Amino acid sequence: MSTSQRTITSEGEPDEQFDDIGQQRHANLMGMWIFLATELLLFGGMFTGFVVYRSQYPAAFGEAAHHLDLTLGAINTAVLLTSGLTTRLADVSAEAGRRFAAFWLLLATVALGAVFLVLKGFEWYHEYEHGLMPVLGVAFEYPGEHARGAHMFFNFYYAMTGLHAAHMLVGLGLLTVIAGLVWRWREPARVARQVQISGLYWAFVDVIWVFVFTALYLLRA
Amino acid sequence: MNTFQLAVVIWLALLALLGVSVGAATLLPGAVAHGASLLCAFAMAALIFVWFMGLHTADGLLRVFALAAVLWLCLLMGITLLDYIERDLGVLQWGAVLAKCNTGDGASGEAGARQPPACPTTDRLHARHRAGLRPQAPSRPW
Repeated sequence: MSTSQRTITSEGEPDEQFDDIGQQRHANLMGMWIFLATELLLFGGMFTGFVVYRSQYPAAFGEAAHHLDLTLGAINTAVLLTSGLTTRLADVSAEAGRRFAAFWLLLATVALGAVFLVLKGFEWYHEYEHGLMPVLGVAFEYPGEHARGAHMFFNFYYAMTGLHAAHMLVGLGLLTVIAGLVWRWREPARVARQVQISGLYWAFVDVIWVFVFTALYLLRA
Repeated sequence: MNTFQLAVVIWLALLALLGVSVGAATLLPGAVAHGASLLCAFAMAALIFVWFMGLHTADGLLRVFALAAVLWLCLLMGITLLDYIERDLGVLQWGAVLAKCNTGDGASGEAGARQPPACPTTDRLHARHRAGLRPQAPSRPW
């Protein structure tokens, strides 16, 4: 597929509040980016807290990071990056008017997102079994020497991965709905724009995970 | 290179960066590994922002919005961390002030003369300084 193929996102009649379809597309993208900026603030506060405590208790956080499953985390990152690819390809396909390619690529994205959450759930359960889940009154049994610092690290771990997983769930629901709209293909131009906008959200969730993975799994002692 | 091929190349680059960051975290010593992992993370984020989120074809205003979001995050983290960095610098300055006081350079002060910095008189601070400890170092039992 080449970029010279026809695109359909610039076709169709604009909604009544817009002068033309170009203005509507621009407003769509701008609105989504502003929303993503607010999301960045939400995660940014959490990351800032993590950076402060990571700098104050480097030994405890570095040691606690060794208790996470790096292999599983890396596999999950690869899965999520692959889902970013399928989303981008779905966007390109929808823009080129390739309905079924877009549909199946969106379903692949949903499937990869589900795989990510299943692996994450497995990892959480594994940590629960080892007493590394200091939430909801569960006993925290840390085998290292910096137990209090590790307690703080795992609080950050569950808050950051939990908030990210919540966004994943929202994204999965959104992409499932969009896949349904692609299947129906009633207004191709509008549907292609919806694929593009929802793809932005999913790519943003990818970016967040890249930093969550780096901060929690890779900054070891 | 068409759009499909470009997307696949970007994906392969992302996986390669992931491999480099994981390899660095497991093979390299502490600070170097941290630097390499963070560099890889920023490179991956840039690739996703620019190619997967379409900033390479976006108009100027959209790029400004995207940059403003990142800039705000930098301000949030930067100003917060400045507080902690300043505290550490403050600890060093206290050490210098105490050293002056102990040698008598900073304690005197005739009328009209340039006033030295105020010397802390807290016994605990002096005791810590004589012991070679940082005057304001917080206790970190963990």
